[in-house]
Amino acid sequence: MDENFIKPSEWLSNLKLRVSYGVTGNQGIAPYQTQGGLTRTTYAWDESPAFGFRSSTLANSDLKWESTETYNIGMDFELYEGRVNVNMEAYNTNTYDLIMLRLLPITTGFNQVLENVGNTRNKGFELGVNSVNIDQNNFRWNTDLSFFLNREEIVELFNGKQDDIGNQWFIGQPIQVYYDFKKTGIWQLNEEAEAAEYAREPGQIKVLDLDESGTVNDADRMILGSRQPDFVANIANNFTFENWDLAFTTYVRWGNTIYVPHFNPASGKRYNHLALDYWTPNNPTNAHPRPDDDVQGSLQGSSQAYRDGSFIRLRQLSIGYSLPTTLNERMSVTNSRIYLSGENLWYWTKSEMSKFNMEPEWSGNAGLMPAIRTFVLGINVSF
Amino acid sequence: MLLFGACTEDLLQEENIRTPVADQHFNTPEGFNDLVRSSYNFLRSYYGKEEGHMLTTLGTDIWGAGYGSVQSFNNYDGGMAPSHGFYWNVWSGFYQGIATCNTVISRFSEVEGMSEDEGNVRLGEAYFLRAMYYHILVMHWGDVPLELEEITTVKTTATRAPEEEVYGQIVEDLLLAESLLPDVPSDYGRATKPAAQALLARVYLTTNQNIKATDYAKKVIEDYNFSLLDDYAEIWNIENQINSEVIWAVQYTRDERLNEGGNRSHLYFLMEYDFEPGITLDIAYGRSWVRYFPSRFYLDMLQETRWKDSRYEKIWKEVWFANHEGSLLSDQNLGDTALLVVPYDIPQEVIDAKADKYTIFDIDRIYDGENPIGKKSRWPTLFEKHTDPLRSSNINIEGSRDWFVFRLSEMYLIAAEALMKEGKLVDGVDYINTVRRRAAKLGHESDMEISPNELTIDFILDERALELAGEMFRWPDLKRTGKLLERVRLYNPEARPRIKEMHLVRPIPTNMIDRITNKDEFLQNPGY
Repeated sequence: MDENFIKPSEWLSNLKLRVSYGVTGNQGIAPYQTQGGLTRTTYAWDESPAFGFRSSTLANSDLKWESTETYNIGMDFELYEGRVNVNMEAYNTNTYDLIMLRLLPITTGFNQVLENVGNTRNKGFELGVNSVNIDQNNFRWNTDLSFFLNREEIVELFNGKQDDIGNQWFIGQPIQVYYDFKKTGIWQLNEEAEAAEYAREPGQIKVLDLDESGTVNDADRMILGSRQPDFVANIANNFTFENWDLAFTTYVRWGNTIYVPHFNPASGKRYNHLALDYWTPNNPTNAHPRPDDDVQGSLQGSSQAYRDGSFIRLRQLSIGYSLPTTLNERMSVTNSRIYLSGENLWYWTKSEMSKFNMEPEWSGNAGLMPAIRTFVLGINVSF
Repeated sequence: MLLFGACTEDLLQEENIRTPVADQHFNTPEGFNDLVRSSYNFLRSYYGKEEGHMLTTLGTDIWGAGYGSVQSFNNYDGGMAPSHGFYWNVWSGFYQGIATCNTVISRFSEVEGMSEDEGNVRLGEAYFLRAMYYHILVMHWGDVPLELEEITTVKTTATRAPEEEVYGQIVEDLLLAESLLPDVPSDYGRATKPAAQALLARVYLTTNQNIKATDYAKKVIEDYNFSLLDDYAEIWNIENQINSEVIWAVQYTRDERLNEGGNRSHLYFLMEYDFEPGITLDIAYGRSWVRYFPSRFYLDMLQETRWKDSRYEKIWKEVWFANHEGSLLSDQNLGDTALLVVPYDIPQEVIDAKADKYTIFDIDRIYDGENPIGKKSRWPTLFEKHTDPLRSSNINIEGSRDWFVFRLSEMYLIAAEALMKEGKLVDGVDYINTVRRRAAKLGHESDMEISPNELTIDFILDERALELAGEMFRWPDLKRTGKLLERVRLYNPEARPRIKEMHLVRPIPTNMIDRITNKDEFLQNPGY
């Protein structure tokens, strides 16, 4: 606000614009990783050891530096004498010669090689708002909001703009996608004839015949989604009234697809399972297939375990009481506060994960543990 | 304010002072030997493992799928899909084995300091192993990629070579191996000349080069000190795995550090014995994974011939004794007979009369005609060939039995079949009768002999079912003789409605097809 063409006004007390550009390299490669390595194998001559060594890592002499180029534009401003602070940022990051392990056809003898696999782009937007909503009569309420979205996409691979199914890398998609059959339901009793055409029986999983070829095979797989969320937001509200304070934080992750292993149960009665809604002739559901003791897992079983992973979570809630000054003086302390707080008290998600109280917040497969609520009762004292 | 920082190419001079490890190590005698030893490792991805058994036992005429099995492999349904892990495990294991053999062959001329004799033998081993890996791959998958050289740069394409070309290469490799390998190995388990000749006999038989098949079978039978053991049961004595009938075996060991996964065959043919009164799991009886179930056709064949043929009683188990105090029947004591499972009929009154002493499963309780009754978990059990009471505990799945890849009796059967196909029935019948006489019960040798006009392909297949049971031969035998569809349709009720021409080859694993970049040329086997 020090420039001549704009001066602080009643409502706008500060405005800052910033732009940046930079290029960095990635040096996260272990020493000797690109030189090609040997691995030990085990065998025996009768009862004597016959260890051996064979080539297990393919050397890649063409490997070069990975570089990341970022454009960044941001704006910060203050409103109403600092009552509201906003900062926002948009960025566009391109990564060139991304270094990743690329899976190879095993007929070469090697399963993978470290390579510059292509270019990716990450575009995103971040917003932060801090505002003091009410501040009078010993009552104050302020809110901190942060909002973040990121779109990752593969721009190009080693063969140009061609998808690589073997590694599940698709042009225009994030690096991690779920590529699998799409479950459309369970074959019902009145669909027995059609099911037979697909070599299935009532009670088994029905998947989309994507190319309408009349059989279900690998060509029917499709991109079902990705763990990349549409956006992530965190809202913290703080209230103080005289000696009391109350705060709660809400966290939102929206638009990600997740895979929940427990929703693809292994068959066979020796495993414990969740009480899923599974098909029987008397329960013609479309949720889960008929349990079958004779098989270890359902055909295309993984297709029944993908869910919308969006959730809203009450991350934290705390109530506190700061003891009055007179009491503090008597105890010869400077400050003291008693509080009760709870973490992860409640969450909402669309899928039945909440029914089983599964933890929705995972970076990989979801729901592997129950969501744990924590309560803390404490005293802060400072001398 | 602006800051600049940069480095240009002229300022940085680089010099590579490291040689790739492979080049440094593999051209020394020690490194070359390491490489050759590692070529053997991948035999263990198939022989003695569930993958190998599943692909050769199920979907045939003499076996059915017990309830622990992947039923799809037996009834040829949609579960026999390219995505199934078993196909990938064998395919990837064997191609890594082939790549290692190719490295040996490619680098052989660069090795310094190794004696010519030793080097030639090692080279012969690599040729033999490569042929071993390819002969299984081509048998299951048909046209397969033929990789013959070490690969040192990224290669993302592959081409399926026609079967004939692959078999041609296998024969070429084996003839080279034959010329380089010794009669007796320097270390037990290494490839030998008779092993190469045995594989040649097998491969020539598969490709209908019958005269050569006979020649090579004869070489193995006559030129060395191999001989059939007098007692069929003695072949399977776990304390006597190095015996005169074994031509070459994949090694497994008692030492768990060297066993790497072990021989797991002891798990697969067992029925669920521990659910019957008086019996509990016991290392002598084994850990039962309830995989393979003899078909009605097979049980009838075994029952019909057992009066003269000792093989049923020597390797199949019908009786279990009580070992569990807590579940004894009212008139049963420890050590008494607790369970009897037999392939013939016992009158119901007898079964009921014995109900307080022991449980009986007769053929009518196991089978209703050709269809298995109930849970497919009780049957007479192929036992002696695989049982492993030497494991550290019953839970331990890693067994130590060597897997006999070539046994002398197979050579006799190859000769019999090859001669029969050439119309030389009198000569052929001699060979099969040698095997049958050995198998005969005392005093019934002449009952076991057959006359020349009884020597037909069906008789040979039946004989192989009795002699080579559970040794990973059945599916290959049926495919090779062109009898897979016929016999499966006759004797396997679960597969009958579904088996088709396309099933003569297996699906190429999904991981392979997904990862190649020349997808329009490299096609999946039709129908999958």
